[in-house]
Amino acid sequence: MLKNPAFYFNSDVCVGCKACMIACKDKHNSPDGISWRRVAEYSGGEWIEKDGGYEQNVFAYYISLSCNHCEDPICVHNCPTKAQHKDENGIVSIDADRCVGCHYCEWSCPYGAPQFDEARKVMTKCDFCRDYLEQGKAPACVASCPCRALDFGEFEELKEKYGEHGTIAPLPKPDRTKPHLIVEPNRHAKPQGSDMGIRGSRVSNPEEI
Amino acid sequence: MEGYLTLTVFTILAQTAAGMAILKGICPRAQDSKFSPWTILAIILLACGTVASMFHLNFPLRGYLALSNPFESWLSLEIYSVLGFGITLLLCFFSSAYILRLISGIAGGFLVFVMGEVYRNTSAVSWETWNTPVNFFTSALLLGAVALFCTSLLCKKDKVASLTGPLPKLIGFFVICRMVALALLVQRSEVKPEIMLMDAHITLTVFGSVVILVGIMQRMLKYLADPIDKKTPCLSCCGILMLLFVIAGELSGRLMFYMLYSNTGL
Repeated sequence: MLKNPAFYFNSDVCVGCKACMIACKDKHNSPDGISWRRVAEYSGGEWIEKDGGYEQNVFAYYISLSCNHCEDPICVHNCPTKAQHKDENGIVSIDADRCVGCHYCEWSCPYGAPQFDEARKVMTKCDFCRDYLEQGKAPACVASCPCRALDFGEFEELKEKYGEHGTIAPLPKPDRTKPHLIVEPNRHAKPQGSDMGIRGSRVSNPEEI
Repeated sequence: MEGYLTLTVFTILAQTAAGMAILKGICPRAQDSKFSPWTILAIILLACGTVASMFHLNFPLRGYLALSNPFESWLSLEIYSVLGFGITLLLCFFSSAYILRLISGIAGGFLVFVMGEVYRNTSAVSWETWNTPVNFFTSALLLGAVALFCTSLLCKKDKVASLTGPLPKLIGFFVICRMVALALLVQRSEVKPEIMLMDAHITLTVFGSVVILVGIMQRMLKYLADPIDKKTPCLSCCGILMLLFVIAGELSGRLMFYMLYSNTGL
């Protein structure tokens, strides 16, 4: 079992097929409105008239995102009941019996990872497919990716394997929570905080995520 | 929005009680007696706000668990602050000692600070600024001043003294502070311009009405110079009307504040 689990995502090979999202929903039997893994699209650019012709700088790329089981999880710090906690395997989990459904973790998380289950009236989130990990299997999202854009492992090992990359738009600044996420930038990726997207600094497909 | 409504009711009522205590705490010269009306009003407001906040929880019976994490979670500390502030208000109710009013004022100020931090310490772009606690303080002081003014008009026999006292001027000053703080909040937010405009419009319109009301009440002083005073009952109505206006303004402003919630680029 991993002690410091992390995800790796290669934005350059992701085609936005959302197989990871569906595999996650299928594995956890998530109700409507809850997607522990989501695929965000960031797109923008325009056609510019130049010398009697047109040039374009349009771009689009995807980011597959779930809970990053952060080093310094603000959802855990802010939870008034200690229902949110980081367990012995480094997985940020929710004790449903302690959750009062105050939504404060949802407000706190810059990645929007904790999501409210209307039927059970408690917050839910990615558990890194703990049962699969115990069986030595990969999390459902990683196993389902047809482009091999996702990987998982010990954070330090992933950093050695893929190197450390800066974050890209539309992800938030990593310094607040220190996410266990390594993102290989797409060749068209815009720097973190960029507002070049069609919705400024926001994702292009908010209804989907 | 239903969940936000209970939070709005809690913050407005608790801020009003805290604002009253802060203003009473920073005025050592003001005389107070046991069982003073403002403490009764503040205790009722705080109790109603606390009950309303329970409806925000999906498991109210587990609410006591929220006391588990006061050293890390501002929300948990907020509950302790409400309890502590409530105790100081009860002490003020049974005693006229200034020191208790001062302690109650400090406890009220701490509660407002913690309330501001609850919102600031999130990932909502438009909340995560120093301006959020400033908004909470200006709002508490305005609401507290209007509530004290209203109490004084309703309970004091000498209503002219209420009008010539510092409260009407303080209300005017706090209205300006509140408008500046809200304008800065709207300016710093990164949301759709129409929401910003709507926020500014509602806030300025309603608060503008309050400024007019203050002006009207000051003008009425001239008529009240007449010793045979038959217009004092309408003054009490004016006070209540003003309180309702301010609460309506705060309600709309607060709902807009929640609409400004945007969880980063995601």
